[in-house]
Amino acid sequence: MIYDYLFYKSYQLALRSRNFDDAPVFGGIWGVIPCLMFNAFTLMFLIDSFLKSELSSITGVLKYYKYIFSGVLICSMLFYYWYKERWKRIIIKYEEKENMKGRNIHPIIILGIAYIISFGMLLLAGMYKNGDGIFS
Amino acid sequence: MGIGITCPFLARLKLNKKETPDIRHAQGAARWLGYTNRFCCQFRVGFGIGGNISSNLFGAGVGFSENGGAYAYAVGFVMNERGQLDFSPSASYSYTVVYNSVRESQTAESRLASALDGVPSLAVNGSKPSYWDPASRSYILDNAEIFYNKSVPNNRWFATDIMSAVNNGMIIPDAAFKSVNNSTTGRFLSNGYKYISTVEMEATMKLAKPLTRGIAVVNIATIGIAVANDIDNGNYMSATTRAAVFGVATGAAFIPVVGWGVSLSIGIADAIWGDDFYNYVEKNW
Repeated sequence: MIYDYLFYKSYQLALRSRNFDDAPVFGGIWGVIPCLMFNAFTLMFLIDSFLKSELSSITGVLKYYKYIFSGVLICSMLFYYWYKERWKRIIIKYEEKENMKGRNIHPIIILGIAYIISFGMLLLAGMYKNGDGIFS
Repeated sequence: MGIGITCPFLARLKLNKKETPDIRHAQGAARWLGYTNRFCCQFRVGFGIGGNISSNLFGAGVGFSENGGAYAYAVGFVMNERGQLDFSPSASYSYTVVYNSVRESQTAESRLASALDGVPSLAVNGSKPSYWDPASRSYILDNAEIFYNKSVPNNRWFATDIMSAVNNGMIIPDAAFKSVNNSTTGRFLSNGYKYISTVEMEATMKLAKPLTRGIAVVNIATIGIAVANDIDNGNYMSATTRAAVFGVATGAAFIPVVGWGVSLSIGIADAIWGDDFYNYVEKNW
């Protein structure tokens, strides 16, 4: 799963920065949050486009209750990765994979690409839904 | 002498777009040059070969080429408010569009009127009738003025817009970096102490970590919501600006020692001034 890999790469970066020494899970989800949010909203826009629904109007509501939503989102993610120490299994899995392959791509490259692609998809999905830009 | 420099990268981005070129494309090029509401000494509607425009044209304009290609361009040689010639590099956009025929009897004014149809944000006036310039194979409208009403949102999207939006977004992170580096408040947000050296900061980070992280991560996540909301409302410029801030704020947390402070400062700055700033970006860039 792509988010597990992003989690692992974010964790790697967190270790290097030493800013997340006492909460490594936090370092892992830090890099996942933007991509997860962008992808979720992309999916929402696409559903709206194809089903002619109004799901995306929820972004207006979320913006109003943004602090509550953000808090719930972060707590949910922390719970997901902390539950039965899932985060450790993810780290071990990808560490083994990288050791077998013998190569390690710098986490910034992976996270940067994932972020740009996620935002690009969100932008395109939004334009497609609104019929703007290249979809006008 | 103002010598224009075409920008093939920008041109390629739009190369395969199938649509009728209009004044908005020229607007994108003009905006890239920084001229959105200035007096152009000359406005050309040309019969170019398609592709990039040669570098010696004036003003900003759109054109339909004889071979079915079309272009929009803006080049230097623009007159400023004081009536002086202002020189700058140029940008051009080229398109491969299907255009049935181009009637040479059509004047530049009527072409412009056609191009402007449905675009209330722009208007072009010429003080003299246009004339045909066989050398450049262009209709030329001298002393043309381009009016750009900034209060009307532009729903077009250019590669240049994306870059300018990202650049605009860097204002907030830049301020946050400076705050942490240079101000006692910034340092306090980083680690809980006002007067502290970088070495000491690392040793004492633990004091304010939990609170800092909690605020930072919630603030960061709220930017993501705002990005989606902006895109939903068709405000692509401010969405891209926010996304740039979002990316930098997230990445800043990984900077050793000062990362949390920078990230938190960006989040706070965005929460306090963000909406006003992004509204300004949406309307003015």
